[in-house]
Amino acid sequence: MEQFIQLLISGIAQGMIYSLVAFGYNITFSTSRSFNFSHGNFLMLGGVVGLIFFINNQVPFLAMVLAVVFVGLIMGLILYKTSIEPSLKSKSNYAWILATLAFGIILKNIVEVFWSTDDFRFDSPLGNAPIRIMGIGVLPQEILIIIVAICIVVAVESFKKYTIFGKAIVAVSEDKHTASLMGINQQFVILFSFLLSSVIACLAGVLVAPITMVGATMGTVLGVKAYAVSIIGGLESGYGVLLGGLIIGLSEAFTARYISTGYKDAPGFLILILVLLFLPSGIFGKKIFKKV
Amino acid sequence: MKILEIKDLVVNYGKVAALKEISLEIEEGELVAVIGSNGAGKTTTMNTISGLLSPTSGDILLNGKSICKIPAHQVAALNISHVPEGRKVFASMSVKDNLLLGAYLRIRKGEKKQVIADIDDIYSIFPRLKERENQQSGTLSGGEQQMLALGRALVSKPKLLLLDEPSMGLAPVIIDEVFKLINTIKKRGDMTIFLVEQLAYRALEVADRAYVVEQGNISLTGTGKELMTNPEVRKAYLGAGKS
Repeated sequence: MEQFIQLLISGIAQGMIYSLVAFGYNITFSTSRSFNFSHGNFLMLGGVVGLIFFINNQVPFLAMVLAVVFVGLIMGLILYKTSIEPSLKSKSNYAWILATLAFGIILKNIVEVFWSTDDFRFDSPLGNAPIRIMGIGVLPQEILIIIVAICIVVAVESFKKYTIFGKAIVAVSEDKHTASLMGINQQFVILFSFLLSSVIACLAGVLVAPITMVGATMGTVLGVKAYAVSIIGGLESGYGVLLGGLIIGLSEAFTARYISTGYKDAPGFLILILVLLFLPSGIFGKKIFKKV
Repeated sequence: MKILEIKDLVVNYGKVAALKEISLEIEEGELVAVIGSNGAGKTTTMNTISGLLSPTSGDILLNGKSICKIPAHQVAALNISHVPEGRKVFASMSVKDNLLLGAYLRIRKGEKKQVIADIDDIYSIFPRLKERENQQSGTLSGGEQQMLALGRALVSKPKLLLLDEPSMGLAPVIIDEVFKLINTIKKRGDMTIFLVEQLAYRALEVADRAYVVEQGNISLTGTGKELMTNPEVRKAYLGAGKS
């Protein structure tokens, strides 16, 4: 039983990381019908920047977080200007896929060439000693991940629901031409969504760093799994990613323990296939009533 | 004073010409209608004015200044409000949110309180919208959506209101209601209205002046009454001669 609860908590923590990354896909997909295919590498960059500042140079934790946010903003801007804006103007509907993939490969290679190809340990600021509650050991970092991930998703969704700029984002997601008739600058809204998504990815990198390791390849698999989470939850839903993350995170944790670590990814992707077959717009896919 | 002037406007979709040198003018305070059949270029004209399309040649002047190189969201800031063809309400959002978005620019300018009062004003014109304030607007009936689209345009306090095919897809009883409202707005006299409509009779009834477009060209112009009695118009658009 104790082991079960322990697995439950680490599965949820892992799932919340996927959710955060997946949330980044959803934010930009809804506004621009495109997203950063190398989102995982943005997460990696967040982890690396965090490591350099916090572990190597002993910068205070909050200052490091600010630095990571700043790097996220800059990278989001560069990504938008180099890969997204030209792709959205091009006649091909899918130019953004190759453009963002290329961007990510370049980013990863830059990190490998100028920084390191090794993996490094990133000690949690909360310490590595598990908190013991009734015989169950939980890493403080896992609790932090769960809280921060949920807070970020709730904050962004509330922003979209209750502020006029947030409503403008929803309007652009739904119909950008009509939104522009309201005076909403859709290009700015799309840029904003990419900045937000990049910052979230970089923060996710810092969050996950103490659980994985920090290195140039840390984001690749995470990015792919988060993509599956996005599809399962629904690419245009906000809270759907939380459920998608839970499904993948928990199925991994339990399969690894009770079946075999070799098969840990299988159930998640099986669910992905089922969702694609029966609920193509995801479990929380948008259901809009439209009367003509 | 001319509020809007369209000079030799040519618009192409790729190689297909949609508008071939259209010219027309609207005086401040007028209700001007453009009538014509499907594919004549009515919606293209509207979308070019509001900046959704850019013309191949020709010019659009608002109070004497060219606006045809300006993107749509900046045209909206010039007090032009466009009720698009097919209503285009934001279906996943509530009625109230749609109205708030109509006043997006005003709210960003810090006129939130005034906007809330204006929304109440809109509710007094369209009581049905008040009843459905928190309902997802995609679930409204076609007529209610048209009211919402009108209300959404009115809360921006436009000087020039562009109405694209307000009768589209509505039952005749509802069309009566919509045109009664257009007349009410016209009588308040604080905005110029540019109406594009397939139902020629309805449009000519409310219009001060009207233009007839055929295949991207203006073929006739005159006051609403003149055109209603014009034999060609009667034959082509008002169903006379069929009986």
